[in-house]
Amino acid sequence: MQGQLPLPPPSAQRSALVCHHCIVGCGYHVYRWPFGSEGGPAPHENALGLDFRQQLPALAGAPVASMYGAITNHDGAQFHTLTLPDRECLVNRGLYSTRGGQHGALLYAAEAPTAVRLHHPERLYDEGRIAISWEQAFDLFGRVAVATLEGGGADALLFNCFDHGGGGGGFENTWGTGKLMFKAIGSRMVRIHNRPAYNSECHASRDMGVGELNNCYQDAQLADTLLVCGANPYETQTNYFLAHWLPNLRGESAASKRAQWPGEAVEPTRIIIIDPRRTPTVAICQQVAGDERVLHLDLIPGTDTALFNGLLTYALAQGWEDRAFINDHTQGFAEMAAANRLSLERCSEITGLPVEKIRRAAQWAYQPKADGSRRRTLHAYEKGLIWGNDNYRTQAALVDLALATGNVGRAGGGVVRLGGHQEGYARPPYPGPRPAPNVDRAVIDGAGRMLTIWGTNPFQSSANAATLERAVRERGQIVSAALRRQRHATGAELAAAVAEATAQGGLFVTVVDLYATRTAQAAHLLLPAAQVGEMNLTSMNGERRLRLSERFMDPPGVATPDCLIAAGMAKRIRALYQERGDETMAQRFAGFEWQSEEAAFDDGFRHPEGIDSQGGANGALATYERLRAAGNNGVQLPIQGYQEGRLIGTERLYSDGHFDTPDGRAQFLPAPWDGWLAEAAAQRERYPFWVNNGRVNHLWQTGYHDRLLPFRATRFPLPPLEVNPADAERLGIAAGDLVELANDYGTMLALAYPEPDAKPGQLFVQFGHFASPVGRLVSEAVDRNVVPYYKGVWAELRRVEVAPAYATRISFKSRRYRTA
Amino acid sequence: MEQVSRRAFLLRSGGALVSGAALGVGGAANATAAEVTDYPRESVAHLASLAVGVPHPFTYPDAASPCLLLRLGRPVAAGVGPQGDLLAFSALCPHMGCALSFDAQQARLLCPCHFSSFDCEQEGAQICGQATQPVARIQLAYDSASETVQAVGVAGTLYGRRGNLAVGGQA
Repeated sequence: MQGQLPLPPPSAQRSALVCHHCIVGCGYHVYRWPFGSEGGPAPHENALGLDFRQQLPALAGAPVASMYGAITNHDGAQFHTLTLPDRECLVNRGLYSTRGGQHGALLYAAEAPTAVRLHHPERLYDEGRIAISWEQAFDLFGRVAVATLEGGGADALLFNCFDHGGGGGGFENTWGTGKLMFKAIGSRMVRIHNRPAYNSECHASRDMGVGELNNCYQDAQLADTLLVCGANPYETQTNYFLAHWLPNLRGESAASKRAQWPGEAVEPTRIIIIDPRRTPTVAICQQVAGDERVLHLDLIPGTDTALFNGLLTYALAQGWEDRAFINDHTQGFAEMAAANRLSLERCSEITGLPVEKIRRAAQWAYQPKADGSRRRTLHAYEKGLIWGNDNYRTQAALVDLALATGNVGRAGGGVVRLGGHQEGYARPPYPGPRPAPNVDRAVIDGAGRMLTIWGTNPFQSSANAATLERAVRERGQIVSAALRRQRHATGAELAAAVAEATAQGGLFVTVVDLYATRTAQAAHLLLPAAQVGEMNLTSMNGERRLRLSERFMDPPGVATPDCLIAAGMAKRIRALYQERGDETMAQRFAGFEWQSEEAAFDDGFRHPEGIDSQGGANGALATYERLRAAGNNGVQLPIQGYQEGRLIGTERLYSDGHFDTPDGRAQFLPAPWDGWLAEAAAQRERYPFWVNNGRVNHLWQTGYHDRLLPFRATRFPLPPLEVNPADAERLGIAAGDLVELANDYGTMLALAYPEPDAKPGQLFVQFGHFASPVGRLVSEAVDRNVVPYYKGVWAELRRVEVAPAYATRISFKSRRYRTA
Repeated sequence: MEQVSRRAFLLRSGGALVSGAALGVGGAANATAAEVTDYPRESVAHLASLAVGVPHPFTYPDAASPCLLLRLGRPVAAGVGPQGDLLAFSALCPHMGCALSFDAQQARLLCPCHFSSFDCEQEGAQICGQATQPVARIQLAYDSASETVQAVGVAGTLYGRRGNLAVGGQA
């Protein structure tokens, strides 16, 4: 007979799961029920309460095949699972994206593509790797670490580690790794998963006393104007855009605005999108709201600072600043206004935007409404700014603009990053300076002895990736050769051989991950981590909403949460020092006696004194039990209290006008336009094509899961490269042709995807692709805090050969939505 | 219900839903009609009534499943008819079931709810959007004697039901 989706019976277990992909953190329920106990089609016969005896209507919340996974626990028990979006979750309201909707397909199963998950620790043996026990793995790591601490000091232990929430992160795991790296080892040579140093992507905003996640998703429904810079939320914060931005653009939140502010004018909502590229987001906004309410400012790449300063100068000249707010809650306004002053004409010259368009943007964003009330404008930004030309300067200019116009701490306002992953940061203070040392540069220059790469894949995701990969492989080979020379060696002998090799320029590489990634191919020691669903995990989303994702299955083999891997390393190192009678060092590695991820959460998030925690001072009020009760709506950090069985959170920050500075006043920062970062500017002079890069929503991140799934991997087996059709024709390039990009840093391959919306001379290629990463073309240009300029790539383009055979089965039609 | 291993399911490339451990594959596009034996054969339209670029609505495999018959005016993979240009798809978005519209200019199916788009010339593959599977394709046969287009099966999964044939008392 025809096959059917299994339905969860009413008795199915249900647990909360927050999508581990993007920062939005959509709420899902995982239904789990044993094989052979399926529910029936009548509403009372299944846990969903849906009537499967008839065709379900649109938006009814019907399950689809990719939400299902069949799991086998360690005791052999087999279950169906269904991961269904939560209609009661305030974040996504029952919506799912193409990422979150495939959660079932990402679960580990011995019969599924995910069977290639790492099951056991492995170490290099001859030309391959062999499985070893955790005891052996911790012993090798521990012995090499002790030798390295003795021979090279703490800074000889280099780390490249996640700092985020969601998949491969979370408060438990940032704490566990952070306590190991910063308290126990005390290394300053730590970089964050996607950048070469230990820094913030929002130093400017924080220096101004404005935490970068300062509003709530509801504000996108309350804003009069949405101003978004360097972001493409349809593909990267999908359900924030679909469930909160678009209803406002459609006028669906007008009644809510009137109810909140009786007497205040409600005008048709407008959106200003600052991006050199006409993104899929721009196309959808124009479809929904029409050109009369959508302004696309397609500026010259890298000139955002000039645009913000032009908008500010014009707004001030019209008297549209919020003088009372500036006087009462800020400092440094006059100096900033003088430094940032830029005429419309000069702004137009730098940005390439017509004066009229800049003026219109200022009017849309800052001109008081018809009744004289102040316009509520939400300012949002992401990688176009964060990984743009001089992060610090540009971000300062944008926050200056939002503060001057009174749009921080105000309903319908905010100046916020949109975010990548969820967040989930709790660590001892970073022991190094600011600016932090550039760890990638140190690796390339031969410094350090151990490199531990944790939950990240820098060969695909770093800047200057070709040089970095070569350095890691070459230095790693010195250690590999030493390991291969060992015969019948004990653990101590192996470690001694490694230590000797690292004292001669070698690098001992440990990788902790879910899969044997591209970077893992260079590992001497490869350690298997657990993912969301295989452990309890807390994270917060882009409106600081803290939720607990509950464990509902066993990890593959002996894989285990990152925090417990860190604890295993620390405990072994402690024992080694104790064996040697070095109690001082042993004591540094104390405090890792956690038996569960909850113990790590309690140790870090719930004891915030003296550490850096996004949970804030009231973190102790959050317990797993309370978070479990709070479900997918969780609580917005910081927690204010616990009353009547509920955690009370904070909807938006700074609504009291008190900012995160010593005196509580927000600090304006001068941010005059002064051109391009030098290394990138050199490429700009030399090469004809600007190589914009970013996400496409079929593939998440480096594709660590997605590369295994035919629906994803067959869509983009190579990174798609959007190219202007006239440019393509001139170079003899057709859709699906294999093309090469090259500059002074490296080369990459891509599939040509002619796109009428691509401007002449401007390309767009997917970031971090598993087959050919754009990082190999990214220069070493960084801002004053060592934040890279990933978007600052210029290169030459040529056709390598005609379309590979598989390209004929790929759609090259426009990814922009446009009805006839 | 039949039990099929995940590997077997992948090799078959999934014309029909299967039960149990095999689920969770997340969208296999290309059906093999030979797998499917119990779909009805239904006459959908006379060739003469089909204009290039104008979608012809019909229902299949039952009255609750709206579909679109398309005449693209150029030969296309899996197309039937004298010009090999006839194709049909479910009219329900495989994401959340909204009604798809046909963009004749680019031969795309477009969803107005969450802006997913599907390529009619690539067996309903998603071009951009939020679905996790292609739009279901209605398998067609062309009877040259009567010059009629017949629906004979479904490749992929129809939105909003537990199985393509599992409504109307067949559950």
